[in-house]
Amino acid sequence: MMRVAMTGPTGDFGTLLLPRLREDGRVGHILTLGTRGASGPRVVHHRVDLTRYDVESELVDLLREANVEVLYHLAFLHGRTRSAGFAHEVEVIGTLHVLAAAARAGVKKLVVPSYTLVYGARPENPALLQEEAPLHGSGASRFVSDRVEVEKQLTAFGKAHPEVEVTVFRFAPVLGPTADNPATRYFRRPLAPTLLGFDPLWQAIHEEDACAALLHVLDRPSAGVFNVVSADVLPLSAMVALAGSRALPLPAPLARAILRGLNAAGITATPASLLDYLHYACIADGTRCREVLGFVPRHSAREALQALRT
Amino acid sequence: MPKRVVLGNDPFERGAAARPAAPKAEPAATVDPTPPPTKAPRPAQARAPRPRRPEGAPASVKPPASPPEPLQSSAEETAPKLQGWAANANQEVGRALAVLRSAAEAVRAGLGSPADVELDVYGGDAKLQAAVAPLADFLYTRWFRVSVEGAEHVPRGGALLVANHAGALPIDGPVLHEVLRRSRPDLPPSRWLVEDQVFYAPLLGTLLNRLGAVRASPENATRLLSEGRPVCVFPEGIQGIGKPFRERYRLKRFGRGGFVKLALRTGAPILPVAIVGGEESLPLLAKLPAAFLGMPYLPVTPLGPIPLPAKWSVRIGPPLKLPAHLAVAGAPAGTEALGMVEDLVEQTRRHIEEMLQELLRARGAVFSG
Repeated sequence: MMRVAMTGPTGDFGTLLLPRLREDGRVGHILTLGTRGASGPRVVHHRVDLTRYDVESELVDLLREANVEVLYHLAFLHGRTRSAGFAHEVEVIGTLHVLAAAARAGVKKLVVPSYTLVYGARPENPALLQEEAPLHGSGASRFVSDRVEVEKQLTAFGKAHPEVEVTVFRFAPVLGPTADNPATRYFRRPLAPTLLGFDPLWQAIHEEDACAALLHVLDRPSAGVFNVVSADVLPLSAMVALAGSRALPLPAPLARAILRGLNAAGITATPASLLDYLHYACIADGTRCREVLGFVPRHSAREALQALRT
Repeated sequence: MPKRVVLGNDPFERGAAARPAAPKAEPAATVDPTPPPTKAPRPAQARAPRPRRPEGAPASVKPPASPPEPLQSSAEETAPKLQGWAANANQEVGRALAVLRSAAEAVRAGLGSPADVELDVYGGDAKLQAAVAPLADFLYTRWFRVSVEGAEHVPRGGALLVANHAGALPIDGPVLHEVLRRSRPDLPPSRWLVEDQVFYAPLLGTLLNRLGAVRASPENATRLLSEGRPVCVFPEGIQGIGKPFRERYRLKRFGRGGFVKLALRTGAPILPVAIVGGEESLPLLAKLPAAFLGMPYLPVTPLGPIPLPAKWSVRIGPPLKLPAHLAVAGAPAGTEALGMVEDLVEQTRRHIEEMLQELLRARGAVFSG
């Protein structure tokens, strides 16, 4: 029976993973850590604020006490956030605390979700990005650059603590009935702005597959970084159509200008650099996940998009 | 009796002129047996007017007894000609419509794809490629009348086809792809690499991508070669298609020799390819600034995106001979390697240059022939 802990139990991934962990026969004791959450059968919740400066020792005590073997660090904000500063504290500084605590508490395995978005949508990208590709991120986008920073921390942590098995999943945009992230918000719009004459390739991953991947590595050796992507690629225009939305093609320079104007006026807070993902492709190679971990997503990108409608 | 016979004969003979009805009836009767069988299978094409003509026409052209027959026969000759012509025209119109339809399909694909689209990992759309086949066929066989030499040189299991780049719009990639598809159906479908500036030109880049273009990068080329495909590269890049018409068929700098490094690393053979016709099909007359479109310039050609019907010829040379120790050991390292790369680039360039000159000398008129 494995002793498992999880940060961010009420987040996107946490909500999906917790019930499954609870039903999983391999799991004995589950410790959840976060500002929200509740104890229940086999689950013990502790209220922990990852943004507090002294949270580390608290985490160490809790992890040690529960003798945690596997830690899922899922405390990331995907939905609309109160402020970029707060999100940065939770994600980047929070990860810093969690990593330090995990090492000190003797956690054996650390599983952290990330996104293929960290590669950045760039004209120089090869058709399929391998896990070793540099993480260019996306300019001023907090959502992406925070994840790049977290990944950098994880790389450094992996070098400093070879005794801890670190697994990083780079998910294609996660779509599904409950998922709420910039990608789902884009596809759920009745009119999705696109760039006229550009139709970059996209991938997706069904939220259930993302969750299944997290669960898959619970008791398997899985050190390393893995792209988790749908087998199929689709052009953005087809993705928009499949999601039941309509494309609103705008000339690229105009779209950028409009977005900058709206941001300057304080009406939106979407950095114009996110338009890169509507401009260029950011397609990752899922071979390693398939061959090394033996994990194959069950849903195609097409199905993930159709699941958005329900 | 004899009288009757004579009378009968006489009136009969005279009657030919006096009473046209009888002779006509007879020829008509004699002619009829033959036409019906021909008419019977034809009606679909020929329809009613034809059987009526032999009867009606003689009736109005009664007086001259002999003329009607030649007239009849000429009518019979022209009618099938007309039908043939009509059928032909019908076919031509059908074909032209198919060509236009596939052109429209292509433009639409440049703007976006339907929900049921299926792409390969490079962004190629097999369904679209099939849909534009009529246009490709028309351009290849009737507009450009592409002639091909040396297709047998392309080996199985991946090869780098290195060609000169020509014309204001990079259609030489698709043409070379079509050359291989037609003359070497035994090979897996080839792909061609396209420089960034074209790959990310609005509309054009998307369309080329769906048709099978892949962005030029060592990673992509390696992957394509590992799939055992012929890969077409144009090392002149944007310089090749950006040169003015007066510099046609003069090779530009061959990039930084990326294709040689690739060949050394993967062991894929290098085949020099010369393509003639591209420069005259889409002569670059001027460049308009187009930074607002995210493009280095907007090319000005005589008919916009429509190429002129220059005759194309493509010659594929035999694989370049690599130094024996390289073919076995793979890419050497250090400064020696740089010299080696330069050498091989130069060799490839010279081969293409020679083949180009030969093709140009052998070429008669640019547009006819």
